[in-house]
Amino acid sequence: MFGGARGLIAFGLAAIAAAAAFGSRPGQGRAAAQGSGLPEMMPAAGEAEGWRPDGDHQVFRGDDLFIYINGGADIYHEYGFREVAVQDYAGPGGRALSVEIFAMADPAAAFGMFTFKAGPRGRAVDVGAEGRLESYYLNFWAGRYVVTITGFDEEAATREGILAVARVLDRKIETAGERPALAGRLPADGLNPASVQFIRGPLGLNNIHVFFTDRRINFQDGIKGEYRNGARLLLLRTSGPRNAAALFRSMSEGFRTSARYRSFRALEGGHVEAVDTRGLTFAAAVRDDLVLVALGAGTSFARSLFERVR
Amino acid sequence: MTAKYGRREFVRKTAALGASLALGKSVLAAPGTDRIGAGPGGTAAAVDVAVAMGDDYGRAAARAVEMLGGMTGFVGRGAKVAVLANVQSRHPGSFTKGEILRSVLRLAKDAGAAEVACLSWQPVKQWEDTGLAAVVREAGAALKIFERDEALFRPIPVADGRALTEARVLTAFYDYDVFINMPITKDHAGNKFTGTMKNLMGLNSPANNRLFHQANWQTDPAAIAHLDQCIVDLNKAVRPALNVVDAAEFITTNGPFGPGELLKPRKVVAGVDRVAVDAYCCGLWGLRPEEIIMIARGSEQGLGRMDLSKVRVEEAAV
Repeated sequence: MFGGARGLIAFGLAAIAAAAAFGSRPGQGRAAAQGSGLPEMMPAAGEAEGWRPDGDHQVFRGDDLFIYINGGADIYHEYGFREVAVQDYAGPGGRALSVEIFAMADPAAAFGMFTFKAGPRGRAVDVGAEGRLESYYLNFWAGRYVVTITGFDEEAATREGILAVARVLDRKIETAGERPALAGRLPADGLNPASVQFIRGPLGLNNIHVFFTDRRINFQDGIKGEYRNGARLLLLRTSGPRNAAALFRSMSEGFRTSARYRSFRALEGGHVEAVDTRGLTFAAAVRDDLVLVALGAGTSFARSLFERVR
Repeated sequence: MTAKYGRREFVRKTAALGASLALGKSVLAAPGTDRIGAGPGGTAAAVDVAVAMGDDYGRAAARAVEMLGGMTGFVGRGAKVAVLANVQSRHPGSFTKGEILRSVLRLAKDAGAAEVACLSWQPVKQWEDTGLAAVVREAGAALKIFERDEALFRPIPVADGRALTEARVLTAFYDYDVFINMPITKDHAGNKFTGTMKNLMGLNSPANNRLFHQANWQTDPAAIAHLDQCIVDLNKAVRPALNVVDAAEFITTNGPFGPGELLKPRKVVAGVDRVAVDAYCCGLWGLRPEEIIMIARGSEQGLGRMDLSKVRVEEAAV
């Protein structure tokens, strides 16, 4: 299924080669790990039956995340990344897993990072504050930590190993966590809970939808949920009603003038609507410190969603 | 064979090369020139974007190249061939698959290449963990790993660079006659999509690549456009002879590193026109090329054609 990757995790590289590869002094990774606490959370040999650490762990802090994730590090920083520990595991039958423990700035950051990494099609699992198991990987969050466990095939035995390791980590992390308050403002009726995504900046927003390329969308954080027929509701929280009104005006102007949109109209009650070049409908409104945006909802369903925002 | 190069080893080796490097037998297009390593006569295939689909990804890669006229149209007898695969991450669907890489390496050798080498500044651990180091060895090619030392990269001015006026390309590429670009297409959290054009960051220095990410990316939406413009500018300075894209199984979420949801079109896509190839690939998971800034700007700025109705796309099953 995954070509050369299956069962080919190999460690035991010379320290010099590893240091050369990462541009660091031999042992620098271990020195940086001292006191971080994340490596100590990793399951020891035998804690997850049949699985044992394979090779040394690695720790990356701050901007060094670019060494590990390279071009994909920006979104982690947007959410509030602080540190990650990575440890490989060898298991029965030559199987392999990779465990990453991300320490974020706070539980809201961890929740957001989890919602970004976890796909909506996975199966909910009872680990951490929330967990989701996909075909070959699992994500869960607990407190300010996000854990990602990756297998290298889609076989049932590997998924069992992933779950076993996840349960050990769940016990060791010993912290729960609550969703940010904004998540509770989405209308509950008809919401697909696995679709909820918490965002903290433009990268997160662009991964939901690229609204405009010619204007800034200023917000503090946001939450997105999906409803029936694929309609999505996005709540963008600003620092107060004045800024929300300013953002609403800017977005309305964008819907009205951008070449991406057509059929703009201002509706009764202060809502606005437009349709993009793909035929996707957009509706927007403002309430208190929030700008509400419905995508693909149609006029009446959008209005219904807006009215039910808590 | 895996060789690791630091500054000292590189200086020794390049000193031995003597005239070829001093004369700048350039693999990389000087500003405004044609693509490099076109092979004997620079075959102009009737097909612009070749797409081969099937469960045997190695055969699909060979078929896609065949649809473009065959590897001998790109690799001349005795040529030295450099290959750039994506080994950014070992998570499934995030790196170029071994079967596809193996197929291209063998095709290049069968075309009469004197040397076929994968060049990379990614750690050798990535190559080992993905299994690609073994693939390179088995194919009789060389794997050359370079330290992330700026002294190993050559400054290249970018003519008409709008955000990037100077790239820093791995100097070792200049030892080669033909450059084959082998990305995996996939999601990217920064700019939604990665393919042939973005893959060239793999031969640009990490320090220079960091310039593509603006310091104010958290507040300025233009920062994303800056990243894409830098990628377009880099592609003005470097033009592969051939692009062979792993579009077989790839992540559509949490890219470029993964893990993420896997899409499995079972396709290998090949072509010379990077913009057209990327325009085709982004459509595989519902993206529109005009909405991907680097594709749109690549088209606007003369790197290729985004409108697939104006290029010849040919698909075949294997």
